[in-house]
Amino acid sequence: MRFLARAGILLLVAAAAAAVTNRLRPDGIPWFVSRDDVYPPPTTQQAAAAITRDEVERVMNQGAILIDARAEEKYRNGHIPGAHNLPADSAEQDLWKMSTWAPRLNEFVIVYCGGDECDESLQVYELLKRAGFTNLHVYFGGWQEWTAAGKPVEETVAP
Amino acid sequence: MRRRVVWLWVQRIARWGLGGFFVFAGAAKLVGLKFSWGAVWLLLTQGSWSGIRFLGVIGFRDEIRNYRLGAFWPVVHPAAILMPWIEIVTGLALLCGIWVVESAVMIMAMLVFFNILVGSAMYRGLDINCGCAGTDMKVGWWKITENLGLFALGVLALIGRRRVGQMDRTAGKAALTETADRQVG
Repeated sequence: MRFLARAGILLLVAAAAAAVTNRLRPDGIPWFVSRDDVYPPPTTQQAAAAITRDEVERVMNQGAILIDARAEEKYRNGHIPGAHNLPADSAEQDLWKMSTWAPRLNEFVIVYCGGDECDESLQVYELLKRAGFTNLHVYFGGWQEWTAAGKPVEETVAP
Repeated sequence: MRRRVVWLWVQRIARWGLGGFFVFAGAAKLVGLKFSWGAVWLLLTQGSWSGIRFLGVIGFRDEIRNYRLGAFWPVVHPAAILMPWIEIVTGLALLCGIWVVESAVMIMAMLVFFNILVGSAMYRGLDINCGCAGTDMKVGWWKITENLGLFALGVLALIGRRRVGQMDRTAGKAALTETADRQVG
């Protein structure tokens, strides 16, 4: 009983301090928000750029440029055959690599990441859009859907 | 007597280590501190703050958000506001030796919860920062091991405290018996 009372007091002190600082600090955030504020849904443009696994398979042998937006380590462990790695974390610094993979801005570019739960593909999509690429697509199913369907994968051996 | 001193220092060091870590981790979350060990090296050797960023409460909110909590999304904002202060308050209590059992158990419960979160992120293949103590450490086995190490410090703090208490009680009883014997004799 004494344990619970003391733990409760510690929690109350923490909650009071949190409420006061959150109220006073200029970057305080609301306690309760809608789901869309926490996880913004894809914009209309991003949703329109969605591409299915069947479409990826169809265009990957017709010159489409596949971009894997996951971290380098994950890419090395396995990726969709022919995909290039442009990790979202360092995409801005590594953007120059796109000029070798997709020399023209109207190339058919597909970006993907881990699956439904990641947003690296959207980050890279936005970056490439700002860079002027006009034929961009996002494969939302990503690596998870691709491997779950038993599709071929490629590994990269570390140099 | 020597064993008492050893256990006293074991529990003190464990308490200070764990409490200090949690105060730092809470403060880092409060200001949204973000740094890599390279940035710390740069700061120490060249006095440059360039690699150290303060992202505010939004920085920590985004790190919780990245765990993709699904149906638990309503806890993201309250956790971002509350968690740093729970860590600071329990860490300070442990550091100062106030309500040691309660604060240590609360911290250990948080560590178990953090490991469940990290494990769930690993299982879902999420490649995200762990959102802990300002470092850019990713979720993975290192993080789980670090949390287990901190949990062990909590166990040591509790065991050490118990042992010292037992020894003090035994010594107290012996002293009382000795005094009573002298009075009777």
